[in-house]
Amino acid sequence: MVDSYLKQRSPKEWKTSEKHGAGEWLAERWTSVALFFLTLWAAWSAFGLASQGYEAALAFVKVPLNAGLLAATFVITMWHTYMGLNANVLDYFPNSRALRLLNLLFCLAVLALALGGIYLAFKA
Amino acid sequence: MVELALPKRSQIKNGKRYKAPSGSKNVRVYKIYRYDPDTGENPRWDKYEVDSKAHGPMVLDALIYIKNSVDSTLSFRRSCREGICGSCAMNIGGRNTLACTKGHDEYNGEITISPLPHMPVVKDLVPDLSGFYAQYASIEPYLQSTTPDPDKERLQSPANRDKLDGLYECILCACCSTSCPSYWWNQDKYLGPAALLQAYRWIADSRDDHTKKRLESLEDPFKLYRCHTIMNCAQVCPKGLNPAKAIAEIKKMMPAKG
Repeated sequence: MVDSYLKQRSPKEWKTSEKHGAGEWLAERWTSVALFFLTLWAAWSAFGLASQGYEAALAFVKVPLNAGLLAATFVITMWHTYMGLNANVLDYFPNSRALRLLNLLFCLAVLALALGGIYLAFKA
Repeated sequence: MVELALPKRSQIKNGKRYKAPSGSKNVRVYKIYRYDPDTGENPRWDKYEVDSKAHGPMVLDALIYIKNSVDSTLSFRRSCREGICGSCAMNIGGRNTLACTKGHDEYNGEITISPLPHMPVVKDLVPDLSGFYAQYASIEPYLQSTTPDPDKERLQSPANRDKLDGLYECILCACCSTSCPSYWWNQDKYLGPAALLQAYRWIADSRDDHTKKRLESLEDPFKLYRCHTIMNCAQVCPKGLNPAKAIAEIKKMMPAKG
């Protein structure tokens, strides 16, 4: 058992660099910074709308700036979520392409629903 | 990769108990992991009752006493007995450390000793570190420069020399890497804290001008970015180093490497 393990570990056979990772690392940090401000804005807006009913919420989304910020919040949230879940997949199931694809499809589906909802509210 | 079921014959059974000679005072119990893959048997916990007055103050002294006087079949590595060779790295009382620099009086009650976690075991407390050494070799731990060799040594300013403090002291005992959960799951791809600390030791060296090449060889989702700043490495390092900080420095340099 030990012999076979030794054979697998020649320095020459060590993993070569995939030449990426720094971009993802930067994206994780910048999306975190953006989400800090966008989440504060979203929470503050939701607090203001809490007791004003459906019509007021619809009017809020119809303002282009609000619709844009809301869309940005969802895009960046799902991007950040995708990267976070992907880190979990790489940690625990590093060879599973299926889980990585499932993660991508899940995040895209949630994002499509969110952006679709904002678009419909904006056009209503 | 994470495994949800234990491999065959990996459950640790209760083993023998070696009683201290009658009349012994200051008896301490050492619960030691025993495993010999050649026998095909499960690993076991053997317990040794040892008179603390019969050996020196360190846990390594107790292990040497057990091997010399109680059970000569016990296997472990040791060499310098002063914390400079890293041979006697093992898990004592639940934490990776060097047996030669840990006093047995630093522990209460029974002292549990097992090999460095999540490594293949050659025998008893001897882990197979060939993968660990291959990782170290893969970061090319030697000076590389395109400038011609000078007549004498390559000079370095005191300020540049200071940048190597906290890096060059690493003794490659593997306490840090084998305490890292990311290393446990992906040690076939992730370089681990020790190799990455050594990689940064050469990246930070003003005399080495292969910085960009070194960074490019590290830019990889597994080799470098499996570090999640868990900090177990810094917590257990018997030399008081901080591999997590060195890894963070590499990550900071990576986007600007061009």
